[in-house]
Amino acid sequence: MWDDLLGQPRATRFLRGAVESGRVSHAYLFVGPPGAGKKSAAKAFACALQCDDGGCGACSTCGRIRRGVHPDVRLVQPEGAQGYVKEQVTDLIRDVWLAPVEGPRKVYLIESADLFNDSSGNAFLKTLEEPPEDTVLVLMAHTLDAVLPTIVSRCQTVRFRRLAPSEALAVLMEKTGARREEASGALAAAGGVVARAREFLASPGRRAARDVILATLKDLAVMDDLDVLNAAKELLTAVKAPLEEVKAAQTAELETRAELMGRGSLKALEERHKRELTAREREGVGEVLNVAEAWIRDCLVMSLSLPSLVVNPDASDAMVEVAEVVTPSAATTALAAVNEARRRISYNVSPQLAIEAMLFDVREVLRCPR
Amino acid sequence: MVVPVEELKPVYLIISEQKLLVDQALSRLKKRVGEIADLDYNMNVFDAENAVVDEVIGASNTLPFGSERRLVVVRNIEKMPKSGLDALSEYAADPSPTTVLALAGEKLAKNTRLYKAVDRIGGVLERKAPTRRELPSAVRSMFADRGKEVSLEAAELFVDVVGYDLQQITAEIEKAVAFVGKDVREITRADVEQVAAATGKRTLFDFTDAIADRDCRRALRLAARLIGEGTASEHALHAMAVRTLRDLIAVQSLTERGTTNIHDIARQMGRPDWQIKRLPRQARAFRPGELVDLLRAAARSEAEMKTGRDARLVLERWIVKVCG
Repeated sequence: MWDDLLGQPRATRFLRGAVESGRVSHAYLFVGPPGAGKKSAAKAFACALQCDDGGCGACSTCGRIRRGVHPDVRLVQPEGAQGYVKEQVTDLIRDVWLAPVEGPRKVYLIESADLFNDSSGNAFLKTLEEPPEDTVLVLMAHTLDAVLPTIVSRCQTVRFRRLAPSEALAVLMEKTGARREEASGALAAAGGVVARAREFLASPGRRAARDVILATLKDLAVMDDLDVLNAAKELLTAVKAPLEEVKAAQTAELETRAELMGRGSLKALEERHKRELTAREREGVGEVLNVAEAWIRDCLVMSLSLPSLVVNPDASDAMVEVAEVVTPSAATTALAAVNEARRRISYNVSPQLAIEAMLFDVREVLRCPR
Repeated sequence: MVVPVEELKPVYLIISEQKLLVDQALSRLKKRVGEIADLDYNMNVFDAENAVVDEVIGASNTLPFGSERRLVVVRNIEKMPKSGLDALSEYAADPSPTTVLALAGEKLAKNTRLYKAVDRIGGVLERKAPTRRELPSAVRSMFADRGKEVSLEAAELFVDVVGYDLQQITAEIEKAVAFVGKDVREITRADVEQVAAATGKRTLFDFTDAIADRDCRRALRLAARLIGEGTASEHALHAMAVRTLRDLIAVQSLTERGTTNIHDIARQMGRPDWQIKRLPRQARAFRPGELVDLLRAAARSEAEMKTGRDARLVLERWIVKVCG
């Protein structure tokens, strides 16, 4: 599982050392920019703590931790619109005092620790300071400054550094054996997050979705209105295709659970599965938007004669024509359209409508790129 | 106007999708023939669904008893089997001069032998129902016939609530007239609301139809009603209207590509013909590029609806924009 941690040798060494020497602290705070690998590290750490083989990555324990379904490893995310709500923290505090179900200890992975406000943070302090002996709390945040000082002072801080794009690319190529163009395209699709880019490369469905958006952008300028609508539909179908794999895993999980605990206990799990599918679909749409954004940006840097900055070299033949005529302001307009689609989808606008509107906007720019 | 006896045709074909109109035409014909014949002895009524055509023709060839004419009525002519229609068209080519044969029903294709044969002697009466647009004013005049006044707005509501079936409309009008009593002249919106029974089946479809027709008044009224009675949320209506926009865009593009045949358009859209038959005409009411702009506006308004603005106001503003 430690292999999941890419480009963070210091943090890896530190965490590994803690587990191997048996000197695990009760609370950690992982700090680093988005995409640095905090969540992967937290999961790998949890695996190392729970797995009999120190995080082999192959056993059922590691598998369940990875999928987020291990009963003794809980992932906690803010439930309020502005951050953690007090009821959530109260619930967490109560839960901490329960004995572990399977493993030797319980691990809490707490995301966005910067979103504890004064009241929810203070409610949590006592627990954070002195949790039961079998409990490890791993908090995550983007920057140290944003976290309440009272929380910071009760945790061991582990810093995750920002990976330079070239470094991320090198790490990704090394871990996956992908060619340079593949890896850089994958990174662009995954928004620069190495772990996600790795998943992306391993999923034929997600790569197919990338191909669909690239093909759409290539022909967009000559498409008529109906073509655009159909392209949006096709794109969403492509985004949904990889979800079949997720669904299959979920069905398997439901069956195991039904065998163990009876049908009555399935409702909560089904609800969670549904949420997971929605989140995955969103992620897929996000990836497609990332690709579109990177493609437009590539056209822009090519028009400025900076071909070395292109991140989707496999699609460069289609960009050449656009790059010849596109102006920076036109490219900015197109980028704004992609951003707008992302914003709308985050507001729960139907992805189909958001993507259609985006494609029509981008088409307008491509047809009259000055 | 009284039709002279000699101008009464030997065969009539009375066709209308509205049963009420068929009934009205039949009763006028019956009244006219009744003036010159004793219908107690000289009338036969058949239902095409279970009538034997030989009996119909036999009854038509019978001489009238103590009168100038006989009346033979066949209802539901569209249910008559092909062999029956052929036998009737042979009869129509050489009908008995002393019989009035009235064939009534919902429809009969113009290319059938029977239609042509009756048309040749001038006996086809097709009664077109008022279109949806005309119905409210038709309702007003129907109320006026019964000595009641009703505002256009109340008449529109009346049609919304009752539906497009004339027979049902007539029944509901009788009910409304009886409800207000003979002393009251004006029938108000409130009366309509109290009396008319909501059928409520067609309204979601009607809403999208109003959008495609760019009929702002109707779209807003239906939206208000659907939201009000809890049939659909603002978001659902918005999504349905967006789907209609997509259909219109598809039809517009296909037409530009040179596909004008409704059947081909339907096939390419993967839809049955009847679902899209109105779209080509409706799409023509939008300028090139206008539909795409409206779709983009839809994305904007959906974002607004979902970020806590007054969803209904946003929907209504967008509807107004679409109906332009």
